[in-house]
Amino acid sequence: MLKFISKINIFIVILGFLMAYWPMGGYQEGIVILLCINAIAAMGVSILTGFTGIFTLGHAAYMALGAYTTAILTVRYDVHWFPALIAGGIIALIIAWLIGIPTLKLTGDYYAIASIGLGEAIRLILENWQSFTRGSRGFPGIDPYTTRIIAVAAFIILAIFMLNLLNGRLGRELKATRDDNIAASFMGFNTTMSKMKALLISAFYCGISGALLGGYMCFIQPSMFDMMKSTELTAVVVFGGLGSMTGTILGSAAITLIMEYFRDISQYRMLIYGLLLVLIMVFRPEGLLGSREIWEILNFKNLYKNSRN
Amino acid sequence: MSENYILKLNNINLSFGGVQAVREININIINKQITGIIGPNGAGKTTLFNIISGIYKPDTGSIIYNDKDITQLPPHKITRLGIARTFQNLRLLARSSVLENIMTAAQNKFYNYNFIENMLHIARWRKAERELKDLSMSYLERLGLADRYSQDAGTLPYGLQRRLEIARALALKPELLLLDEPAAGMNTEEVIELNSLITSIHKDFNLSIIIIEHHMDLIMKICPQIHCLNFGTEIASGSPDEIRANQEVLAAYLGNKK
Repeated sequence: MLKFISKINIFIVILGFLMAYWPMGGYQEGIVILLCINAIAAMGVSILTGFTGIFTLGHAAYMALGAYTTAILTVRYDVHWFPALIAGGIIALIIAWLIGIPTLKLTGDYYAIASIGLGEAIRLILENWQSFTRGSRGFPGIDPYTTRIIAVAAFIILAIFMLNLLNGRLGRELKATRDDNIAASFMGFNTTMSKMKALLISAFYCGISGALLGGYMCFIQPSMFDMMKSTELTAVVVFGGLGSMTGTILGSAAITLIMEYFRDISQYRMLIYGLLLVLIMVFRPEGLLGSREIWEILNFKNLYKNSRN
Repeated sequence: MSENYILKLNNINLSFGGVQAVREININIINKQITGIIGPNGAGKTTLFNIISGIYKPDTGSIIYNDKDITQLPPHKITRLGIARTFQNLRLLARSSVLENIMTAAQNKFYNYNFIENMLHIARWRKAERELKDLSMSYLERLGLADRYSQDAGTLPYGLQRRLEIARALALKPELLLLDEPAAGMNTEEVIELNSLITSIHKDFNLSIIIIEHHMDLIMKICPQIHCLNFGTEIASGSPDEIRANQEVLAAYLGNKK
């Protein structure tokens, strides 16, 4: 079995066990859960924005879809949280597919503009479909199924899947599409389909993340998934480095922790957030890790033998 | 099939707004031969490549490749049928390594592993990735780029970037290779090198090749069949000697006496 697993995966699993079983208080547990939830959503946006080059400003909508699907299934229909969680991801994926068909022909900035509209539209539907979603009053009484172990397990599994996917044919296909659409099509890739694959994966990740958020907060409302949240997701990916999945995870962790640290002065948190982004853009415009993965920077080539050599 | 043609262009017309870029082109490309296309700047040579490879759809006419009509197919399908091309203004994946550039191209013609295997890195993944890497390295070795495999493609010297483009096109396992000004920006020495490279590729990979070029010495040496375009129409075709003697070709390049 060991033969099939890259060493980096083992490293991630060990990290996961530490995160899941290291003794800590309730407050720290909450932070770990938030770290995992944010990292999952950030990974989702990263494969689309960082690896396929499609800027999105509407991905909070997919989190909302996941959160509401899971909440409604568990509360109204007494579905067990696990199938409901997967259903949350699948619903986000299906909606992304419907949205992707007309919009993925758009390139560059046009998709970003379209995604703002689509994100807001989904949020407004959730807000106004009172009979089904309870509208802006929010949806209370969700079971607290997102325990520390479940959040960490979800993060670990999804992180390994994501890193594996990018280290293989799909990763190369997406990067080719990102770097040169025309060259990619002359290497035999249907670039619209490549973008669609990235969008579907990213929507699934965001859906799962939203569903976990619902289970952690026990309460969701549409305003949690507004444009601010979408912008934050994309900002985290840019912060971590476009084209670096480990950078995205680190960036997401850094921002979550810093935001948590300044919780006392909650009024000024956005100020610090803004300052942080300005600083990174001035001193490291390519983001935390640039477009390299962490093992390429640390030169742990043997750690991830199959990545390049 | 009356003759052994790999590609037939039947009455191709294309205009952009009021400009007729390509006018009534009828060219048949002989199988397993190197065909040259020459012509002054703006003669429509690259446009013709773009039509063959599917970037532009012609207003009228049809393109028959191996008895199959490919006129309306999108570029990726044309590529998968076995037509590969290089670009006049290089289109490498500048941020990926040299090896990754080749692997990206080679993976579509390579035996596959599916999404789940990719996600879990199980079953065929490891073997396939290793074999794909070896295959890609063999292309790099063939074109003398093997020692540069880990370098980012964008940091290669210009001449090597051109070679990498050819290597990448070969990795697509084409039957028909379109080379768009492969010698552009090269000095005489490099052109001679390229010359022997193209002939040896042609022999080793058993390809049909179409070359667009301005370097007459290159074209005249390696192409048994040459077509000359001017203002979007074909003004002459034939062997190098026939082209050299053709008055219209001379007029197109040097102007009329008068």
